[in-house]
Amino acid sequence: MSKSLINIEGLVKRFPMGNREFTALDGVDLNIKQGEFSGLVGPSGSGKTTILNIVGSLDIPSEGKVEVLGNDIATLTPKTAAKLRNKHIGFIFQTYNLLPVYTVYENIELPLLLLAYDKAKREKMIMDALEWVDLVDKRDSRPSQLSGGESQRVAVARAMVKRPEIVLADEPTANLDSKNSFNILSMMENLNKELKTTFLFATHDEKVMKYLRRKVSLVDGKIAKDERIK
Amino acid sequence: MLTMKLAIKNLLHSGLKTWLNISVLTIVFIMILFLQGFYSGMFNQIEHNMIEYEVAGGQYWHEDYDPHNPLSIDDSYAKIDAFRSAINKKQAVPILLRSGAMYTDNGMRGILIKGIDRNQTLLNVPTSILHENTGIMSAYIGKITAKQADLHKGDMVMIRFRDRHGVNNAVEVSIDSIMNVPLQSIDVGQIWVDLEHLQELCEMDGRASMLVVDGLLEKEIKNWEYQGMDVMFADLAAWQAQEMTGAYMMLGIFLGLAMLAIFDTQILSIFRRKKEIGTLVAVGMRQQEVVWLFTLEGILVGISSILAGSAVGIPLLLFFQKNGIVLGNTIEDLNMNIANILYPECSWNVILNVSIAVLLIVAVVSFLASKRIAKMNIVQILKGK
Repeated sequence: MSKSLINIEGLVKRFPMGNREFTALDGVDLNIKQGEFSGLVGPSGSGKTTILNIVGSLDIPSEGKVEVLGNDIATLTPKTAAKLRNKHIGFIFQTYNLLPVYTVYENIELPLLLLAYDKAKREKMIMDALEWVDLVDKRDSRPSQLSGGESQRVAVARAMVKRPEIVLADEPTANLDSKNSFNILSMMENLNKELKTTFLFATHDEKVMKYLRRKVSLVDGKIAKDERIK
Repeated sequence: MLTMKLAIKNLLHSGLKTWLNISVLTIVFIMILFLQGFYSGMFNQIEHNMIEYEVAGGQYWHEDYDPHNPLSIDDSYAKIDAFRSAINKKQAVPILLRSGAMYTDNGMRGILIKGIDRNQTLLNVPTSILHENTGIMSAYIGKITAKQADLHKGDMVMIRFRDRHGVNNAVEVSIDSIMNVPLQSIDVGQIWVDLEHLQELCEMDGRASMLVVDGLLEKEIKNWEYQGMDVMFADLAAWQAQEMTGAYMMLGIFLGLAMLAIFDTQILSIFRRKKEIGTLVAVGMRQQEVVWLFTLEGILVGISSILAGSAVGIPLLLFFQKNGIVLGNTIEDLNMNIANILYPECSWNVILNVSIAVLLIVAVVSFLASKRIAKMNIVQILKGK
């Protein structure tokens, strides 16, 4: 049986809105196991991205407990949170978030530099990642020279290069056409199978939903449905 | 090390604004170097001129002599027998002071008559043109006095003064030389004559009011007080302090403007690159590390400016240090103790100090601008808010 990587119990997240508070998440319980290819689905404002941010240690819960790889997110210091993100979590964003002044190779290299891997090891891992996303020939290009699909593939390579246990993908296909969405999702599915990486999506894109093996539907900050798809 | 690598990479690929910042700071750096070089060169030149033409290694003043009290002049004199050996060895130059008046075709003007040993070689002044008493007194004046009194070489003037007993005396004087020395303290309102002739006319044989010496004599001499270089340069030092205050204020304004530009650019850069900041945090950097990265980028701007400024400014300053800068005749009208060619000074000490100051200020300004990254909400900036 696969081990539990993400364990969420009674998660509440409130944001200040003027003089009042807005409750984005209202008592969410969720458990994600190793190797899952699951997604948080629901309309805008349902709390998908908020869960991803908390799991990614970019934010903290207002109430409840969120454990990621045994780390209680609420008690992490900035240093340990950064270490968790750096070593164990990969992020894929809707807008790719590539650093414009770096080449494709350098963008993918960034997490490895932070991990202080030596040059030879970095090069091997980057070339592997470039092969996964089929962008070896674009290694010296800059983000401005890439198409949307290519940019998102670089973002996937950057998230995957350090072989993290968890990849958090926030609307990864929102800016892509059908063909590129298909390519990206197939690629992520393959990596999930090959490397046993756990993928957690936040999406309301039907194309993504077709690939998910677990679909957690959120409505108004609560889990409305949690279904596993065979 | 990683932060440094990233900062260098970011700087090399940064946009026009950063290069504009570097250019502005480079210009400021060069301006500061030149301003410091000008002041340093100017004061050194004045000091050098004073030593060469006026003070040598110090002066002995008669104990009653006070240069700031004109009434003390006529009564401040004494025998100079104790200096005879030094005078003979050309190590001391006696000067007798008498206040008086000079009558020219343009009228009368108050003047300080200075009798100086015509055989002296300690000071670089034209005493060799003075000759012994031949009935007409030989004299030289400075170019400022000549201009003010409209006198030329060969002109005859009448000078009046009081002798030892307070009796008025007058004598015709021939202007045998116009001294072109950039030092108003031996020029304005003064006429230089042969010491022996003046002593004779004043019945003050073997007496003088002051002596210029090449250094402190071994024994103390009664009625005479040694004035060392600190006293000689006291006015200059006070002037220098006053000028430097103004100069530092100007430097402060230059630097302030440059720093404002840097602060502004840093803030804009943080605003423009907020998604990048969010990404760096998402891949595992701490916000504090991102603050350091942006601060380092600012510091690199400072270092680049110092390098560029040094590459351009130092050779230029060295060139002018060697060849001088022609200030034109207008500088003479200012009655400053400098020649119309100024030799700025390129001092490594100044370069180092200016570099450190620029670097420190840039680092502080960059940090102040960048520290707001630490307060940013990463979730919000990843959303582009």
